[in-house]
Amino acid sequence: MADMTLTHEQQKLQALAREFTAKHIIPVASEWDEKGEFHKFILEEVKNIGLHCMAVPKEYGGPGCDSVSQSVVMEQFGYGCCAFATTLGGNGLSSYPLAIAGTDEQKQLYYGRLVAGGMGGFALTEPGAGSDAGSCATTAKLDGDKWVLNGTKCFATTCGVANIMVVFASTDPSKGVKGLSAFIVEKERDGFSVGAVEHKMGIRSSNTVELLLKNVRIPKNHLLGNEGEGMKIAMKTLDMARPIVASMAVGVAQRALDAAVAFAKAYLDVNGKPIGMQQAVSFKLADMAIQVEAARQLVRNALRLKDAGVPYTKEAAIAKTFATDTAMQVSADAVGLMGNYGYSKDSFVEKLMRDAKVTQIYEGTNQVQRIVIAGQLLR
Amino acid sequence: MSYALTEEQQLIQQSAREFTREYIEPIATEMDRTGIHPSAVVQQMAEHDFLGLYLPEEFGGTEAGYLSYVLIIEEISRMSGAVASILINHASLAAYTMYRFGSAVQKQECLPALCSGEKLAAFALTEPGAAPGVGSHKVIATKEGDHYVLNGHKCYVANGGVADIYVVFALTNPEAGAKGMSAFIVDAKAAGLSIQRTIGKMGLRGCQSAELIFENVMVPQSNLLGAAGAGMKIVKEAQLVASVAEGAQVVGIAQAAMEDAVKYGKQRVQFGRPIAAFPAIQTMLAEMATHIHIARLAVYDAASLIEKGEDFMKEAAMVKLFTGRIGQSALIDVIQIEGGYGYSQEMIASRFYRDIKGAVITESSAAFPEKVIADDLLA
Amino acid sequence: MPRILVCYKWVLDEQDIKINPGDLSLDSSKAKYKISDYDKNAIEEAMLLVESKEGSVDALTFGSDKVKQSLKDVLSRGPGKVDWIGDTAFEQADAFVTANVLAAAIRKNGSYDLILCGEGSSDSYSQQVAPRLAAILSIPAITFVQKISIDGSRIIATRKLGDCTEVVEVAGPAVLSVLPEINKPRIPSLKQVMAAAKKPSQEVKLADLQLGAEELQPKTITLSVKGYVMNRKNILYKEANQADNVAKLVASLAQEGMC
Repeated sequence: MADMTLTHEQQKLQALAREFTAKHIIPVASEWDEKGEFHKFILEEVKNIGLHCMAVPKEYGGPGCDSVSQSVVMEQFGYGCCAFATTLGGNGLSSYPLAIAGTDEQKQLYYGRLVAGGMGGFALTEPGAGSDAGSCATTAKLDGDKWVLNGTKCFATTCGVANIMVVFASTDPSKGVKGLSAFIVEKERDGFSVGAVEHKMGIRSSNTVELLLKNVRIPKNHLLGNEGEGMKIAMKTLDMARPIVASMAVGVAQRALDAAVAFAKAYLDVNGKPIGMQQAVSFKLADMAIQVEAARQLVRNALRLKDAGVPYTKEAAIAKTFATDTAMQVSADAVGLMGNYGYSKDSFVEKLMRDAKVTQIYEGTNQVQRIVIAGQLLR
Repeated sequence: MSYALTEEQQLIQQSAREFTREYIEPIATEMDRTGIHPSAVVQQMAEHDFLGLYLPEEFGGTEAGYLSYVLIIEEISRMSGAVASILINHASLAAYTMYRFGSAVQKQECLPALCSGEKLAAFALTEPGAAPGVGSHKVIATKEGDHYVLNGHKCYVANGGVADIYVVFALTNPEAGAKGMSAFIVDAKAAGLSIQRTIGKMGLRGCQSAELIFENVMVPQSNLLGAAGAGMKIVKEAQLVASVAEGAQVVGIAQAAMEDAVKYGKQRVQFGRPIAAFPAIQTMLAEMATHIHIARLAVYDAASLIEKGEDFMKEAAMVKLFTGRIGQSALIDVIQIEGGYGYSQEMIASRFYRDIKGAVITESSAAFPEKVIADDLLA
Repeated sequence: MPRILVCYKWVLDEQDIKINPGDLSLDSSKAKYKISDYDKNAIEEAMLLVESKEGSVDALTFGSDKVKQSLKDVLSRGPGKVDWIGDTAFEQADAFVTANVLAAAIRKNGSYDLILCGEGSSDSYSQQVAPRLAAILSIPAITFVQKISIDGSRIIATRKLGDCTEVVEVAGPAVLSVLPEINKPRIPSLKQVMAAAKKPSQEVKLADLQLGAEELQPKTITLSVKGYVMNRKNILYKEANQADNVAKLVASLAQEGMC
């Protein structure tokens, strides 16, 4: 069924992403989950349809998709596999700092790599700096015409396979948050290495690693914006990324709902009637659908504000919180409704429930979203 | 906690705590990884009289009461929901059914071996039919002389493949639907009974689930439990009895998870103070502590009713309804507090998250808690 | 067929005791009681001895009025009966008083071939009660025991002394104090727990032991009990190069004699 709130172009993109998901992601997602890695060929496939770097503007060779278009695609990818969506979402996320603060030269470099099929990474979190990004212990010191980076980043999405990334480091640790700066770091720089790979409960095929930076020297012009603007860039980046994470979460929730509906129609109770005919079950399905639809429209609303160029920080945080809470609740409900079958590896809904949990945590925990929302309300 | 436990109950609790530390803690993580049935632990449970502890001495039990039994489940669950499930399926579902609905002869023949641990029991209720294209495989029992002949599949049978004896539900009168279901005692070695496969699942790994195939399995008429057609009544009562033990399982898992989150919250410093100092975290902890406390009281109360031989159906259903909600929400919050750390596959919180979902699943609509409670109110 | 007596102490579980960071005072308001850990080894050893030799095991304890809570616990671990003295005098009792009380109760209530104690208690760990008890009863004391065998009236014990062991033999009765490595106490089965309720316990009144005031007057007065907190040095190495940090850490550890 066509979604009439989308433009014709967006509908076409949605259909393309849906077809891709059905053909290339869904058949292998469980295997990726089991192994904890995805097949590289999927990235080639997604390049073939030009959806690997949706956020890159047309003038730099990308598709220059508007935010709603990115959202509808990411919802489909999230529907197929949250880990795959996280990988591509991370690609988009890593390019937002360029859109926010990049010079033309920097954009040429960064976007160029993404358009060519490289993966981008985003390294903000540290062992001692999660929600509190200001406690960053990674440092960047100017030595002649080079920045020298030292430190350890953790929970860095896609960074083990990325060939270019945005890394946050403190140029002045005495200033805390105000000393944080953003840098472009290419994988091939000396002193850059990938540390431990994180084994996660969910989104297992997405690559989450520790990054080790040891006297990594990068050109002076790899600083994004000015010294001390790192926090501002990070916050704006997360503003942009939140509705994308929310879109993936809507996809996860929709998948769980669809699975529960299919189960309710197919599974017969002892009297030979589909369990969907029991009101206890049908009302639960209705509750799930209410949440999924509300989440989707909250996400679309935030993105339309963004595409219209008006402030959307609060709406993005609201959408992220509601959509990821929905993914959590609906996926857990689907497992519950489908009973032992849903809990087993025979079904994929147990994977949805493991995957959904992380959406409440990353890109700013839902507690941080509340700080953002309340900050907007009370200012 | 001021619920008046007797000295014996407190000692039993202490024994179970020591037992868990000694025999379960060393293997719990590895068991989750491999999913292999912990036969050595089951043997130790037998030697410590856990397997028949609430059954009467005349059948080899310890007659320690159902409250003592749920205390043990709670203690074991603080370390391993899977071991608790093995015990619940053996003692609450299978053994209870035989004790409550078996004839004097059946009880004398079966229960002593279940109490001593010579035999492990399982409860075979769920049937496949939900997975796309599988179709119905209902187990049908056809009367032939002084035997019933069983044909069909049972799926997601906990302790399946490692049990020596099964309580199997089969349709003796398929046309009559629920009213045509009956329960049988079936020896695992019966000719024609085979294990199709073991089934992977999200959590409770180590409590093995299997699919059983019945191909012309001859079961003597004397193995019919209760009257022909009494199956649904048996399922309802057995599942409600078990739901009190499962409530204790939820309480144990949630309690241990909460303690883990408290420990983490005190250690993890963000924004210059331990995250446990933030009201948002304190609110989550306070709510889960309150929920767990109330759930524990409800579990103990329902267990006391069972122990006294009073009507317990409504209270047991309330345990199921309440623990189902609060157990899951507690673990969603625990992972939220622990963030990326708790989401890690190696962390105990992520195991508890996966395990608790299995503990709150309602498998049969016969024991649907809202229905049981409403029926009682409206009677 | 040895008759064995095990003495045990009902102590606060040290894991539940918190140290108030301010004045280092101990907060035991949430602490539960337990049988002192090494005493569990003594009980287990007694049970192992009678399991192979037959015989009987009794238990004896001196504690506060709360010690009554310990009876089913100790009986669930095997002994056939327990005698207990619960008195407020316990609050101030040191090893001298405790040994006097236990000795008087033993003289009053029975004769034993072997008296077993834990090497020390989990709380005060003075390691004095067993030897004092032997002295009062004028029988041999063997401490630091890691192995026991009984041959008729002969008791053969292996003592652990630093890097070597010593095997000694005495004619019973004797008091032996055992080390934790002597065995691994079993966790009581539920049938044992349930059976404990049916086993006899007997209260012995302190007043009936006819001890003089001097024998109940502690020799040692506890002036204070405070938590010991190891002060962290909180040294942070902030060299740009990780290798330098590691080198500094190793140097510091070497300086502390840690490596």
